[in-house]
Amino acid sequence: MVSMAVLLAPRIASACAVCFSGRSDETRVAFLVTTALLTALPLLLIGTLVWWLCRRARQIRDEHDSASPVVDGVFRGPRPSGQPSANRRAPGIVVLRGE
Amino acid sequence: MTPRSIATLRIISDPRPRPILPSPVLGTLIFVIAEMMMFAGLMSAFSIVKAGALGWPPPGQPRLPVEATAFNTAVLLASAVFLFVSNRAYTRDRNLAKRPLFCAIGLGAFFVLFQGYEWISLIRQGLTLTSSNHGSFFYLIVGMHGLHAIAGLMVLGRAGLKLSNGLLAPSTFAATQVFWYFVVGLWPVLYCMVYL
Repeated sequence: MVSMAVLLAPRIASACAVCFSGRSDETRVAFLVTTALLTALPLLLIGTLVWWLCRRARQIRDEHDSASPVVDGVFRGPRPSGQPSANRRAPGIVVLRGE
Repeated sequence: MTPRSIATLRIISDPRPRPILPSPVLGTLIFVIAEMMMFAGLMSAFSIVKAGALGWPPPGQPRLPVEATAFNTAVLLASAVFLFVSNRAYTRDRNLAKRPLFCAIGLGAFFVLFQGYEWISLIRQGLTLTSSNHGSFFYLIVGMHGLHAIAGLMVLGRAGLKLSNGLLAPSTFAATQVFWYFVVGLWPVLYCMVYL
């Protein structure tokens, strides 16, 4: 009777997911699918973020390079009074040298 | 007669390129990625337990309110739409962004409160955290999402207050949106897995 109890005990417990419930096909498929998902998902998320950041950096660099760094022009007209007003929309510094 | 002058105009463009992404947005994105992995782990565990069960939902457990939660899902999606409208208005005129933002907050609050009401009725029917695997996973997964929704509402509320005072920075608003869109986008996936 004691030996019967010892033999039957693992079946009654069925605690290990791999030894007991893992034997069914559905559980095995679920293990495989979720393992693949958890492996691929971080690579996909981080890879997408890095790809998008690189693309955006390239766009900003192209915009910055295409903008002329120095624009020289000659303004002819009456001497402006007071401080020259900078164009608020254009980035950078406006330097006026009057003669 | 005003003296004529010849002036040489020199415009020097700002040598510093603008940042790729505002820091609040990047930080929020990294946090969202980490939270997505956490939910992926929870859903993986849930799908393995569900696959190994003889029947799902387990017999003797109350049925989940699928139709009512479908309506609640639509409410949550509508809050994301209002937030998007608020963002569009924010770029044109910040005063126009207030009403859709507060609508988004209201709809999100309704979602959270309705979920709480459903929880109370399910607990009364006998589905608790310890009643079965079904109950454990339901409250764990939906509860984690609820916590994120509450945090998202707090962040949205803070953004709404700042917008009312005219102090809401574009980067802060963008980071707020990233988190709320994550909360809203995640829910239909959880709904399909847990409820259907």
